[in-house]
Amino acid sequence: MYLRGFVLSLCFHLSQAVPLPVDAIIIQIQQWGEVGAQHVASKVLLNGVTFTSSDQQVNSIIRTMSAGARLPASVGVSPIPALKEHTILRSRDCILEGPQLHWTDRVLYDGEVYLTLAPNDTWTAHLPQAMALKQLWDQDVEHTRTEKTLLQKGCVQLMRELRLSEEHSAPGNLLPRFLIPILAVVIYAGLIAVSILISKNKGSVLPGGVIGSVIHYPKDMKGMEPERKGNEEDYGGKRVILPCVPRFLGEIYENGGTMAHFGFESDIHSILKLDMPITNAPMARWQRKASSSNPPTVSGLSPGKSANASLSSSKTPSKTPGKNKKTPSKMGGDRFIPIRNSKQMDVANFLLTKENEPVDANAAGPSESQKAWSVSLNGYNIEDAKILHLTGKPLNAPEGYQNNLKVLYSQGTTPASVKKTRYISSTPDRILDAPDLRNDFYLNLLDWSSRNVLAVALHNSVYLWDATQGDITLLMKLEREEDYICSLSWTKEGSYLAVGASDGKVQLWDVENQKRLRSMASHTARVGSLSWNDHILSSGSRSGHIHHHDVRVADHHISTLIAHSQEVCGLKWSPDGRYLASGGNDNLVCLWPRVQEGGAGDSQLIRCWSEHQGAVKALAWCPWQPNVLASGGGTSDRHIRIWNVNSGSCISSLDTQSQISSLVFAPNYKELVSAHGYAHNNVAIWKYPSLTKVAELNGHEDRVLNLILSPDFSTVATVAGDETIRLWKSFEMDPVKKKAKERLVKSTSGVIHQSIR
Amino acid sequence: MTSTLKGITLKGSAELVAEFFSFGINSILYQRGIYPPETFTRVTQYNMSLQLTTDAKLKTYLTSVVSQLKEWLFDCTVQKLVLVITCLETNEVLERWQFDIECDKSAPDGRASREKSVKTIQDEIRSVIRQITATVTFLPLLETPCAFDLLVYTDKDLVVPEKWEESGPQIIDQSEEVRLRSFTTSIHKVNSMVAYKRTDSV
Repeated sequence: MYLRGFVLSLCFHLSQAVPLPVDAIIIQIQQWGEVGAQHVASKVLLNGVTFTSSDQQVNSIIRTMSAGARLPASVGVSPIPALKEHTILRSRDCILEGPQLHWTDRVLYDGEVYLTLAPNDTWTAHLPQAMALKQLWDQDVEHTRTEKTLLQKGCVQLMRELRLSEEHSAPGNLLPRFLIPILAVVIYAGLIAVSILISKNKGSVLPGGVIGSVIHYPKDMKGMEPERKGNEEDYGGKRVILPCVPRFLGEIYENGGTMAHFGFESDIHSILKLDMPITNAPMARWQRKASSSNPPTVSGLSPGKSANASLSSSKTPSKTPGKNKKTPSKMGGDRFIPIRNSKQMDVANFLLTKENEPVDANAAGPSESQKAWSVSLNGYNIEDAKILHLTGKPLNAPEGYQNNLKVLYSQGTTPASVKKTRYISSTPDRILDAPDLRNDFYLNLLDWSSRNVLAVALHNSVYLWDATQGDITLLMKLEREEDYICSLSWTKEGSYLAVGASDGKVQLWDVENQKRLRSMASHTARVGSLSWNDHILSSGSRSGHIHHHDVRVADHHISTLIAHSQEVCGLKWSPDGRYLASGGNDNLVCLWPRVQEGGAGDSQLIRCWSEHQGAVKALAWCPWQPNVLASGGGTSDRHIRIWNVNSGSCISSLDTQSQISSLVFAPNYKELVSAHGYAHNNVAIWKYPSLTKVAELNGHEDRVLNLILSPDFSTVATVAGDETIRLWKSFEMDPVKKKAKERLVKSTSGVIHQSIR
Repeated sequence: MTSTLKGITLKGSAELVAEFFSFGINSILYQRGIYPPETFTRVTQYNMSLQLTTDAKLKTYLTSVVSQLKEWLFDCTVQKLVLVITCLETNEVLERWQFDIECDKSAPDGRASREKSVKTIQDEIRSVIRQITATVTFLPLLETPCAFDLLVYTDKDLVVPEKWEESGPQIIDQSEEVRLRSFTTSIHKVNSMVAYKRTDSV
């Protein structure tokens, strides 16, 4: 029996390895697990047999090759619920055939081919359920490519390793190469002789049949039909034909293993060194293909078979005796399977390895890959840490709270566009009659106090209109009918009103008590302009002189500013009290310094601009830019000019096409408001600093003489030659912003009042 | 401060890190609008003004977490602190602020001090909190009402204290990650990272 076994195995080997040596090496990386579960196992197969070398380097190759790979489980359960609790196998085959590497990458779903990787790195779905996964993975071509490259590198490295190890063991060969054909011929002849003898004894007609059946065919060929039917049987019984092969080859290894070594070595050489002469002259693949008229005999063509041949080099057979013992019934004729597609092999291997896996896993504990999976799936290793949180529901904000950070993310609604879209009423909010109003461009007959009282001078009397209550009071009336009032100015605090008259006197009135506090005479001509700076009242006269009055002291006239040659019609202290701007009928704009404490005579002129071509009545300081002064010229000039008082340069200028009688900065929307006389007789709102027109307020039938902003900055009041005062509510703020502003206003008041007393 | 001169001990380090978490969590809740801004009050810490909550419920919650965390920091048994922001309606995880804590266990005796001044550490902490503030510019808007939870990753063998329970990691499905600055007290090292749900438009 032993002799027969030896002869058989030797013949088998000769029929496969010697005339037609291995032409392909198949390396498979398989990973499988149940979707939804976190357990993932992986394995490397070399020509269909588990590669279980304990070599550290080989292990590292396995790790490298399977590191980036994914199973459907890794993409989360939610995208493909249909996959849940089914077994998924990912199998990547790397086939080295001659100098070429071939690739297959497949995902099997409960044994059926689910997805395959096309050459262009996209996936092909073979089942309708696979479409979801295909789409998911197709989006991630980069990942697929990296995986492939990794696997390729790993395979090449693995092959090198194998080659090296084989070379190492090569010197152990006992049978020289040249002996093989001789031996084969001898045995072949011997067998023929024996068979002829037997057949002669039994009277058989076909002498060659015995050998043929011995060598090529399994006893029960029908049972081994490796088509779909056989496949299903394999699944059911969890037993396949494959385990027989290793055992059978194991015999070869024991008996004639040296030859197998030899064959493999030369194969590897021929693979990796193409320039080497092919000593045992295997037929080229195309040659063999051409001559493959008889498939069963040209067994070298089947990849499965070639795999078997090279298996003899693997040390696995000796390590898997258990498998063999479990399948004695199928052992008999299972030496060779003529056609075996690789799919079956995958499944077979998978099922086999899976069966044995739990035992290994329990013995060895969680593998490296399992840990890696766990980390990638959970973000941490379950073994290393536990996650704690305080008992109870997660905290959340009180009911009804809406995240208002949306403001931060809104796009396109820049402040500028908000202002443009703001509604500006083209009709006045209110119209007050102003009978007997002097229609004189050079006078300043309107002022609005911080206590929300509008003062207007009508010929020789001053009327107060309480904007909050709507009450009208007559504050004072000049004694002489021929005198008239030329200018009005409230103190910052709003309790005192300075009144300039045509007789050159400046009167100071306590509004609350309706009582004249003092009358200050210093000018020789009418006082057309007044401006307060704390306790200093500056007055501009028709003579061109500007006088500073210290209202606290008896000798009130503390200094005289001489620069203008004609009537001073515009006079404004800057909000910070550092500069006084004056404009005159001589087309000059002058800048004066703060009054020195102790009144050191006449102050020095800081700057004088002569750019305007007309009388400068309109002057306005920018409340949010302390160095910026705006001035507007009369009929012959019609320009708004913006000055930098520090450098003296003109920042910008604009031709308004109309006489400018008043300018005011409206801080709510950072706009500049101008009042116009001839020719438009209207009010214009300009964006600052771009000076683009925002709106026009039309309604006055005569030239607008004065314009003043309400203390809450929401309204402008205009007085015009048509003897009306119109209130335009053009700058109303959102209620929220308004409150903030009001707070600001309150905080700044109070100081002046004290200083006046 | 005498500690400025002497360097830092384990106890001081635990205090500092716990303090950072207290301010950091408050900053996130404020900056991300999880809680209404009017329930926060301004305080000055690390030479910058920060917002601290005045909501009584939230305050007690944070105090209990941070004080427990301090103990764990002192024991060097804590690995991570994660602030998870979930959608209140769907319970979907929208944002995940992860603070990895690396603990130098070689200095647990509490006496040995390291050469790093409190000021330097606070400077580092300040830049981390500044970055948290700056994340508002790129993190997607949390449009739905949100809840938050604090997860603490501890060593496996830790005895779970009363009122605490184990939880899942609450990972975001399909997330973008942004690493923030880290700081170290030379005993504890804290790496910060924020992960947020990838929006469909990207």
